[in-house]
Amino acid sequence: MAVLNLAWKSLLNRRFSALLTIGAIALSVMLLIGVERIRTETRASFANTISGTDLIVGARSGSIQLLLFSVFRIGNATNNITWESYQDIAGHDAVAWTVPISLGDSHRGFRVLGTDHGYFEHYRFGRKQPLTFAQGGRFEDVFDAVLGAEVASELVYRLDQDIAIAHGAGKVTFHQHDDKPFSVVGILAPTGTPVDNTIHVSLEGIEAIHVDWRDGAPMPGTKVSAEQARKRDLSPKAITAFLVGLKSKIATFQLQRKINEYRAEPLLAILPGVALTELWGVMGVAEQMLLVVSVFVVLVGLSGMLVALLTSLNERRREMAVLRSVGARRHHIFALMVSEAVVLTLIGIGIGLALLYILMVAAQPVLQDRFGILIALGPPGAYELGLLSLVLLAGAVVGLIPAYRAYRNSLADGLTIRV
Amino acid sequence: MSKPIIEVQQLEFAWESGQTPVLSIASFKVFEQERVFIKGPSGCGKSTLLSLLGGVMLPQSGEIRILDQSLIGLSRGGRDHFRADHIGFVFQMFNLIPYLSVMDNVTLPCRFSERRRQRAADQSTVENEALRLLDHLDLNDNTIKAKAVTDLSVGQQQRVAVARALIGSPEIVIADEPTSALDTDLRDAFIRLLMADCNAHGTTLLFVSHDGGLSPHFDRVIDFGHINCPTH
Repeated sequence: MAVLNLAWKSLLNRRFSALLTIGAIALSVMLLIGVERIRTETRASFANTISGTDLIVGARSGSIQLLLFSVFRIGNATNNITWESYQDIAGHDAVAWTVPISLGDSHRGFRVLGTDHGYFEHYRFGRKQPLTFAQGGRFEDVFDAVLGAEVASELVYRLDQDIAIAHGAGKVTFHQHDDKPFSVVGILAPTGTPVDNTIHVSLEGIEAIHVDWRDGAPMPGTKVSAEQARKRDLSPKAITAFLVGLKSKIATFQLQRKINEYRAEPLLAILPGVALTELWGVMGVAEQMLLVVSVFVVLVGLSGMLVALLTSLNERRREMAVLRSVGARRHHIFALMVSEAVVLTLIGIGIGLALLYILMVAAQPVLQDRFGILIALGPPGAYELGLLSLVLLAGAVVGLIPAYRAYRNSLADGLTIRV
Repeated sequence: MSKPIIEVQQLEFAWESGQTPVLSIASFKVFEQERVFIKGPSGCGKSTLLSLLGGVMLPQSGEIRILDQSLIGLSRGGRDHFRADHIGFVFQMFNLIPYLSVMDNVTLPCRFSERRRQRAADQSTVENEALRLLDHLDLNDNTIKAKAVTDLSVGQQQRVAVARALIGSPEIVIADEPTSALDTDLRDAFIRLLMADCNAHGTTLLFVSHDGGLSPHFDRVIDFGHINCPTH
């Protein structure tokens, strides 16, 4: 390949400007594929914020609202579910397990979630990963609490520390349940999901701090101490929502319909996967924009190459005429320019990918520790290869412009060498 | 007399058809192994004639035959091919491709012409033939071959260009003002080397210059103003 060899040597000769061009293309390719990777991973990790759960059941409202408060701990439930309805549905033949969720209290801005041991056993996130403890273990006593990773790290809490739980979800509240402090018995490993921002206590614990409350306010003159609360009947009267695991997925829609038509009270059952996809559809625009921006960055990188090649053309008119005189045909001149563009783009892509992989290897532990996102280090997937081919194609197309000009010049110049 | 190797008849050329022609040559012939000097001031259309002989451009009318082959009848690609096979060029200056080594510059025509590659490799290899030519042109210093062409003196560059024009023994060498960048001493040495090599290879030489002082070196001198009579 005479032309390819010439293109390579010509680029080596202009290696400074060639390196700048390659650098610009490499960075833009790194950004493009990096954004694409993160986009896919966040989408996957979002869709798997909760996994292994077949249905989420709450009082009747919107499915997004139910998803937001039960999984993302955002917003509030409009209504509760009675313990009786919960027990009734939990006893259904198709149900393998249920996990109750009781929300409404908070601690310094973090939501407090009342639940039972089933939560640690059945809750799954990501690729069906179970919750694991970084320190300590489950709550056993009424006033035990298990912290999410983010809660522990942000508030710098350790095991055995006492914490007071406030009524309501705000950061500043007037009603502290400070007469009944909770003790930290466990800290969960990071998951990259809202679990990290949650304080988990038992349903009995939630009941205990509210024994002397009526209608959302403390009853004056009836203060009950923690020790007295222990002796009361702490069995829960109501919960906010519950997760359902089925023995067989085939029963999903049947049970969903049954719950939605439940007679005793108005309930709503949603499929978490469907609702998550629905929610992502709302937020997905931002993610699309990110990809569009990085596509534009690639175009900027390629137009840098265009400028470099076009400015080199004038000083290379003489070279083109010499090549013509020793027998190069006009299509050789054309091919020379296009090959230079392709070689630059190809090297840019190679270096960009190499940089990206180095960066990913370096960032992987941090991403997993801090956000629980596991970025796969595998070879580029079909979609990424498609993107890279498009970049290469765009590089070749960009090369057509200087190639066409060199081709035109060589027609006008003939063998006369002009300065 | 030997047969004509270049034959131009009733040639008319204008940059754009309909304009007054810049070239109008009734008849012009160069014979085999002749060394012809075409003399004329700059800008009189000499270089245009060379582009036509090289087949890079076509005249509006007339005939150009080289080695009994009409260029008019050939396709654009065919003319490019023909030029690569049969004609070596030497220009005024900056003849060399700056990013290629001396050796790669000399062997460049062999990459585009299979005929010249085979003829160069006839004796031993293309590289050996290039070395032999360079040697002949007093470029036998090994440091020169290793140097970047941009580090060579102008005189050395012109001699490398001659080696390139001669490799693979094309029938014709066309030199367009090859000495105008050289001082007088270098100029005469250059012409002597060029002549010696053309003699050794039996090459026909067409030498174009404004410098009449070179005439004594040649078999025949043609005043370009005499053959080119564009109607004004």
